[in-house]
Amino acid sequence: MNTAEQLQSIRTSEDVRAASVEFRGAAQRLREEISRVLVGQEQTVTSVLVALFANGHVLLEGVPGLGKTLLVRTLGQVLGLRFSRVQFTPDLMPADIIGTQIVMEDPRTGQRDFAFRPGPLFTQILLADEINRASPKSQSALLEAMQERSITVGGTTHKLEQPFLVLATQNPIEQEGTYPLPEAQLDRFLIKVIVPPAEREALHEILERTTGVPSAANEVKPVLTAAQIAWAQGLARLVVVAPHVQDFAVRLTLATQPGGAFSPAECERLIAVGSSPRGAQAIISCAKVMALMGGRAAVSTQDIAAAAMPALRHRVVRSFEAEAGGVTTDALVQQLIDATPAELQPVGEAE
Amino acid sequence: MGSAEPILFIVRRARRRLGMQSLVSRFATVALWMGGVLLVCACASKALAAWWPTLGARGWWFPALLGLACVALGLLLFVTRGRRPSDVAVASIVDVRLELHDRLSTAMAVAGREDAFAAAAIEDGVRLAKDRRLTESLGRALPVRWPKNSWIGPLLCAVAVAVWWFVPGLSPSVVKAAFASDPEVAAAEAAAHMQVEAIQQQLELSPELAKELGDLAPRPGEAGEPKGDRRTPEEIQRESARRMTDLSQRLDDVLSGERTQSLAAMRDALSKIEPGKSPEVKALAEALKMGDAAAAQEALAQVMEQIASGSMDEATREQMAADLERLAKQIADAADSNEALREALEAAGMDGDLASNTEAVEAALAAAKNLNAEQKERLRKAIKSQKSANAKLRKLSSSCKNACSKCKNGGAKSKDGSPSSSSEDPDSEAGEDAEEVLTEMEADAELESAAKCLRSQCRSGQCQSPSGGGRGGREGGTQGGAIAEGPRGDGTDAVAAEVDGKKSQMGSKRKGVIARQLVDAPPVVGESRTKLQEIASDIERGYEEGTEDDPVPPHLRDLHKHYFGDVKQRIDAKTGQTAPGKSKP
Repeated sequence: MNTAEQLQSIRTSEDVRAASVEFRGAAQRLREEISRVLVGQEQTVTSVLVALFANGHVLLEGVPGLGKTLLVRTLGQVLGLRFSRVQFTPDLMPADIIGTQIVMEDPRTGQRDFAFRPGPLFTQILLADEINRASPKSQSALLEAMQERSITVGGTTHKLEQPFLVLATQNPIEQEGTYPLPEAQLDRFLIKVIVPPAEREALHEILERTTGVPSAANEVKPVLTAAQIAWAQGLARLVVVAPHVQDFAVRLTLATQPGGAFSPAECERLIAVGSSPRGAQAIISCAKVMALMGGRAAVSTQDIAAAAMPALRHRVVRSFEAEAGGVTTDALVQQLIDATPAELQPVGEAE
Repeated sequence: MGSAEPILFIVRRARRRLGMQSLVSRFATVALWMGGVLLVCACASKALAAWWPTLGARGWWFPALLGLACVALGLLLFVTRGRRPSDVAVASIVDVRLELHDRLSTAMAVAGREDAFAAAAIEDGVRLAKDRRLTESLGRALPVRWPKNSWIGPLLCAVAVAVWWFVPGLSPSVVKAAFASDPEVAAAEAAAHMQVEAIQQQLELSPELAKELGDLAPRPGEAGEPKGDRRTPEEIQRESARRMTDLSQRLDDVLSGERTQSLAAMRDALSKIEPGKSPEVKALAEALKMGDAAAAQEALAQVMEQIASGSMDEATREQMAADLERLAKQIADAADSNEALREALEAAGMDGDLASNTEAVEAALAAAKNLNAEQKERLRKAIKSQKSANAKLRKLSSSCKNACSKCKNGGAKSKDGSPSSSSEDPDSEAGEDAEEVLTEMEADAELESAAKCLRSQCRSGQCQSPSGGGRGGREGGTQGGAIAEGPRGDGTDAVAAEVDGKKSQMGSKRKGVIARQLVDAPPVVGESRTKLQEIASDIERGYEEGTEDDPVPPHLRDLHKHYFGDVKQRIDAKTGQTAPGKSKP
C-alpha cells in the first residue's frame, strides 16, 4: 500500500485518531534519537521536525558551536535519507553545488559525449553550511531546487528525489565578507529557526558526552523511512483549518504589510516590506503539523500564533527607523501577533 | 447538525451572557451621557432663572425631560444593540476565553463537511461541550458585570434631580452680586446707585424739573441694572462723574433759563415794593417783596374775599383801595425799570439805559463786535426773560388795579345783594389773572429751588464719587439728596480740603476762575480702559485746537476774555484810565 492509498484509508474519526497517534509516535522517536547526539535544543529540534513534516526548508541561525551542523547531520542519519553537506565559501561556484557536464567516452564504441555529473544538491537532506558566505550567484543555484524540487542543467530538468529538504545555517556575527541572503532566497525557506545558546544542564551533558570516553549509546540509527516521512507529510495536509482560524493567519500576514487594513499603526513605520503569500502558506503548513503533534485534528489559533514567529521573522524587512531604533524582527513580529485579535469574526460569518 | 447540539447549547448560553454584558455596558454608557445632559439642563435652568424665572421653578419640564431621557435611553440601547454575532463567532469567543484551542468554533465551522478530519474535529468539539466542567466554567469565563464607572450615570441623574428639586433659581440680585464680586466694584456701583436714587427722589418731588431735564433724568430702575460687561471701579466712577457733570450742566442751563431768569427779574422788581397800611394788602406786598408766591396767593385771596364780603367800613375800604392802588403802581414801575436787564447789559460792558428799549438792545447786540456769540445769546435770553417778567408784573399790576377799583366800589355785589359769581364779575377775572401769575411764579420758584438743590447734590456727589484710594468719600456719599460730604479717607482728604480752600479763597476774592478740575480727586494712574468711542470727540477737538492758529482754545476763549478784561480794568483803574460806561470796577 503506497502513501496515497494509506492516506485514503483514513475515513473515520477513529482512523484519524490512530493516524495522529502514529504521527506523534514517529515525531517522538525522531526526537529521542536525535537527543542521543544533540543535547538540549528541544525547541530547535521541534521546529526542524515541523518543517520536515511540512515539507519545507529551514534556515538555522546561530553563533558557531551551538550544534547546528550536528543537528542537521544527525537528522539525516535518523531519517535514513541521503545526506550531503556543502560548505559555502566565497569561491564556491554553482556547478560545485548543482553538478557539471563532463565529456565521457564509451569504452565499447569509443564515442565521446557530454554526460551530467550530479553535484551534492542531488540528495534528500542538504546541509548548506554557512550559506551567507557564498556569493549570491552560488546562493541562487539553490532557488530552483528549493522551490521546484528539480534542477535544470544544459536544458535538461532533473527531478530531485523526495523528500528533499534543505537545511541552511548562517552565523549572525562575523558579517565581514559575507553575502546576506536576498529576499527571494529567504522566502524559499519555510521557517527560520534561531538556535539559542545551550542552557546550564545541557552544557553539563555536552561536556560529559564529548570529553569522556565515546559511548555506543550515543550513536544513532535510522528510525523513519522516506515513505513514512511522505505519509506524515501527506497526513499533515489533511488537518482541518476552520475558516475563522485561517482568517487569523491571513490577518497576521496582512498585518505585516505597511499601510494595510490590518497593520497596527505602531508597526507601520517600523516595517519596510511585509510578508509574501508564502508567509501565510508557511504559517498554515506549520500550524497543521503543530496541531497533529498536539494530538488535534484541527488547527487552532494558538497553533497559528506559534507558527507565525518562525514563518514570518525572515519575511519581514525592517525599516531604517526600526533598525536605527534597535527594534528586532522578532520583537516586531511578536508585536503584530499581540495586536491581531484571534477572536475576530470571520468575513461573511455575520448573520 | 443534530450531533452538534451540545455545542449549540453552550453557544446559546454564551450568547445570552454576552448579550447581557453588552446591554449592561451600553446602559452604563448611555446612562452616563443622559445623567450628564440632565445635570447640565438642571444647572442651566437654575442659572438662567435670573432671566427666565419660570425655568428656575419646579415646573413640569424637568419630569418631562426625565421621561424623554428614559425614552432616549431605550432608543439608544435599541440603536446601539449591534449585529447579532454568529454561532461560530460566539464559539470562538468561548474558545479564546477558556483556551480551548478553537475546538468548539472549529466544530461549528466544519459541521457541514464529511471528511474524516472534520468528523474528528466535530466529535472532539461535541465531547468537549458535553463536559460538565465546561458548563461550570462558562459563567466564570463570561461574567456579567457592571462596568467600573457604571455608578457615575445614576449618580449624575440623582444629582440632577436634587439640583432641580432643592436648589433655588438664581435671582437677579445674586447675579448682580456675582458680577460685582469685587468689593471695589460693588462699592462703586453702590455709590452710583445711591446717587441715581437720590436724584430720582428729588425729581419725583418736582415733575417740572423732570420735564425740563428730559433725557438726562435717570429713569426708574436704571440704577439697579448691571451693565452687560464687567467694569472696573474706575470706569464706574468715571461714568458716574460724567453723568453727574452732564446733569449739573443741564441744571445750570435750567437755572440760567428763561423761567428762572424771569423769576429773578420779577423778584428783583418786587424787592423794592413798600408795604401799605392795610393789614391784608400789607401781607400781600410783603409776600411779593419776599418773592413768596404761595404767601402772596393766600394774601391775595384774603384781600379779594375781604373786598367781596363788603363788610369793611368806609375808612378801611378807602385805605385798602389806596394801598392796592399804590401797590399796582409800584409793580408797574418795577416792570418798567427793567432792572435785571440793565444789570446784564452793564455786566456785558454795554449801556444799561438801553434796557428800556429792547429793540435798541437787539440792534446794539447785532452791531456789537466786542461780544462773543455766547454773551450775545445770554443777553438775548435776558431780554426775553425781562419781557416775560414785565408781562407778568403788568398782569399783576392790572389785577391790583382792578381789585382797587372794586374796593372803591364797595365790593362787587349782585343786584339782590349777594356776592357776585366769578363768571359774571370782571374783577373776578382780574383776581384769576393774579392768581395765575402767582401760580406760575410759585412753579418757577419750585423749579429753581429743585434745580439748585439737585445741582448741589450732583456736584457733591460728583466730588464724593469714590476714587481709587478714597473709600471715605464713598461711605459719606449722598443720602436722600442731602448735600453731605462724607469723611474722606487717606490722601483724598488733604486734596479735597485744599481744593475746597482754594475755591472759597477764589470766591471770597471774587476773582475769575480760568479752569476747574471736573473731578476733585487724585488722577488715576495706570493703563486706561476707557473705550475709544467715549473719548474720540475729545481727541478730535484737541487735534483741531492744536492745529489751529489761534493760541486760545475755543472753549476757553470766554474765560480768557473775562480774565484779561478784568485785568485790563484793574490796570486801567490804577492808571486812571477808567473805561467809559463801566459802572463796576
